[in-house]
Amino acid sequence: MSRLKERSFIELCSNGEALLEEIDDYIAKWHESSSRVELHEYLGMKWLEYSAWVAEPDILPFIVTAHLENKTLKTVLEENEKWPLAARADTPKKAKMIISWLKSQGIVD
Amino acid sequence: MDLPEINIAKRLVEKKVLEPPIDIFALAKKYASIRLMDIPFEIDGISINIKVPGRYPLIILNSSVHSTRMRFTLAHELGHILIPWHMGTIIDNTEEKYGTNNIYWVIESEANRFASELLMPSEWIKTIIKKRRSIEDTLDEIIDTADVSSPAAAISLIRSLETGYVFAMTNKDNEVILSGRSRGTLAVAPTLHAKIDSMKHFPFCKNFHQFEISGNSFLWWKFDDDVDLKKRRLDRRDWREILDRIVGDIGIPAIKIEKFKMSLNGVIASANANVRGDNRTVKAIYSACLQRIYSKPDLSLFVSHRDFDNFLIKRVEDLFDRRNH
Repeated sequence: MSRLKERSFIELCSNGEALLEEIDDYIAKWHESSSRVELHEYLGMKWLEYSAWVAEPDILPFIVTAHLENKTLKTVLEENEKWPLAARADTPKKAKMIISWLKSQGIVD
Repeated sequence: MDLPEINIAKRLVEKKVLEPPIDIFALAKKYASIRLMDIPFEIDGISINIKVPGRYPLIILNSSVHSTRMRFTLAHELGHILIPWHMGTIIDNTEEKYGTNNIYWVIESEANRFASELLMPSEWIKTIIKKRRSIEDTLDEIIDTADVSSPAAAISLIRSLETGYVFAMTNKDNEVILSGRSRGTLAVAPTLHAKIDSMKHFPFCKNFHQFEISGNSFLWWKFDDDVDLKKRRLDRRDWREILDRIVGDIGIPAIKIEKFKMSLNGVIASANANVRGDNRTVKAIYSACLQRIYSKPDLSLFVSHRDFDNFLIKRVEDLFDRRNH
């Protein structure tokens, strides 16, 4: 008889059923379980993603995004490097004006 | 199955054991720095450094907006922080206007849905609906308890109501500035900027309520699955002949008559297709057709013709007989 596969932390995050901040709870759950799968698999990550997350915990949302958009973590990180200065607004003109204002206020570099 | 951004808000409410009125400032401060500033542009807020490794997010709120709008904006900005795929710096106008930048409006809509669910959890809204009071009293309770604006409350309420509700919020010139319908409702919500004549808009509805809340004028319609067929005047013509007569009377140019008939048939066929199974009665098909036809502003002359009721009743009876015999 087949058992329904339990959804991983990354799958739950992708569907909004777990918050990013709850990853510690899932790690604790793995410790307490008799699961034979490795922690990264249990969380729903590839080994490279897990290693990157251990080195830099702030990249967790990028791992979720990579899974959602079916991209590699490297691609998502490279795309995101463009964002901090390229603000999102309804028009590029508005974004430019507001970024200039934020700079004049010393809020962004 | 809810959308991911709604699930995130639900999870947050569950995990932090929140209930309205949500102390959104205390909650948001756990995730970001918050600054109130007089922003010299028509924007509600800005989220900076979202998902930038090593940097703490900053939310800037426009201090010149009303407190309920500011609360909604802050909940919206918190959405950008908690929705994993929202990144960078996002400049927000929480009023959805849908310009050319589609990706921007997708993430803005997601953040709005997150904010609605956080400030007015759907499970909480359902408990208020269960009290079965008037729509006006229900809206009042949501506004007062959740400390939200009347448009935000109306959007949340319509999302939680059963099938068969449509609302519009209008300005002093009777132009629609916000509208919506509950899930599964066949009648279409009035389009933005359309002028509404409340007496003529959905004359067959079961209930109609018009009221004002904090200066905003609301119109709410409730439809039944079944509508009693109007008493028919004696008319021996079949529906095709009646249709030809109406089309001639309302002055549709000869070159456009076939197109008009095809379009009308499409509207009726679509309504008919929505009535299935045990619920398929003449009255149910009639209700579905009325909801669809009265939702089309370009059919207003057609529905005001004195033979319209006779046409539609005969057409509906024909649709029912064809499928059932």
